[in-house]
Amino acid sequence: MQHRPDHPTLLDAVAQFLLGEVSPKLEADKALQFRALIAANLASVIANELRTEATRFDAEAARLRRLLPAEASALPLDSVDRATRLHALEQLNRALAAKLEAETLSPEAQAHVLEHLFTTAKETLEVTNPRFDLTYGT
Amino acid sequence: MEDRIRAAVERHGASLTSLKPLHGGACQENFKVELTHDGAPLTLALRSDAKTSLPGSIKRRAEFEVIRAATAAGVRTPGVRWLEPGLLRDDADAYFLDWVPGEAIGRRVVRNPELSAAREKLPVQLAQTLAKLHTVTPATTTLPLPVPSTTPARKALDELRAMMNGMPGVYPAVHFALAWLSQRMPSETEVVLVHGDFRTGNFMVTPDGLAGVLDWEFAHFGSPYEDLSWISVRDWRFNRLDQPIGGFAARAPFYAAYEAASGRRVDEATALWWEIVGNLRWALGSVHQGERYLSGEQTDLELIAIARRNVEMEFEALRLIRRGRLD
Repeated sequence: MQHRPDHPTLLDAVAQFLLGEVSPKLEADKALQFRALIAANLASVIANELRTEATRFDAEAARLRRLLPAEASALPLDSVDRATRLHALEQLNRALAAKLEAETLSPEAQAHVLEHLFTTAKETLEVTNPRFDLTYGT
Repeated sequence: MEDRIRAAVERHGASLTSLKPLHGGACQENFKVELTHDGAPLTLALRSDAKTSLPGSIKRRAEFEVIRAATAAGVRTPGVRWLEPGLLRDDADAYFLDWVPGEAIGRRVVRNPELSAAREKLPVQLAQTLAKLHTVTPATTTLPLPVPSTTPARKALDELRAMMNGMPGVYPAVHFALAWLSQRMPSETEVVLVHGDFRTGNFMVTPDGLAGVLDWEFAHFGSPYEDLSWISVRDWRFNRLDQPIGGFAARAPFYAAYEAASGRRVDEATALWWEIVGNLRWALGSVHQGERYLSGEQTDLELIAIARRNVEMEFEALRLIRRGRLD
């Protein structure tokens, strides 16, 4: 297996190629140029997601552990295998969704869940859309 | 296909000069049609059923009736002319309507300097347009649209929940927001004809202001607040967040003009409730666009890119819940 250059670096190169070399040649076909920009943006978003995945995973998992300690302790959130870890986090999110469906939370519990979800959305948007205004009206 | 369109316009005493496909959408195929009619040039649009549709959308035959009812109520919208069953394909109905020039692209409507005077007029014009549209009720018309068997608010939550449950992914923020909304059901239960996609991007604007309301495929019987609030959903402000009405106006003049023209009072808590619903609808709508790509129904790169944008709308719904009042 080859690891150098790593995946984010390769994806950034793809984005840079689409943006710098392909897109300027597509002035005559604006619709195609628009899709080339979408493709470039997707590639750079995925690069950023990969670079920040471990940090974001740890932050989200830590908060969910506090909200759902019993459910979290039964899941392999610390597995060395990436797919197992990501699947465990999804299972924990399913447990949170099920809890929200099954019970009416106390106002305090509701506030904790709201802050967790808001923070998770913020942490995602910092990576997926750097131009998104995270402070407006908060 | 062009032969079938040519034959149709000839039945109405016109001859086809040119036919140009336009960017359509998931629900319809659109064309710009140049004709000669009574010896004079005439430009029309043609809207046909597409091979696919989106949840909640109506077919062209019902859309034709809705536009006629809206026009009769005084709504400014391109007039419909000829309904043609099975035009492009045997199973695809279509209709011709007047071609209205102007600008509909959202980011241009909110930013182009030549439309600055129009943006001053739009809040009042749009509010009056909605007031007219909302005079149409199940009691006053026989439109081929279902009348909700429950309150519009209850129906909106049921639809969002069904849509969420139909997605393979898990969206805890949507679960949370739905629970929050269902603990705060609005008491308002009025049912009127609503446009269903009333937002910047779906009305034609010229330097004189509103030239016509477009894109009626999500028309249905529902709450007046659905139209009043959808225009403020974050994504339809086109990055002009400080202009909550469509990215070009403050709320107060829009709500005041609607109150004056409709005789209804705009309740801010109810408007907030529906604005959160609107953001959730678009959050799940964007996920649905991605599912259409994944199912193989469509191969458009734009769809799979939109699928990841649901977080933006979820953030906005949660922001409004945390804030607890409109901005």
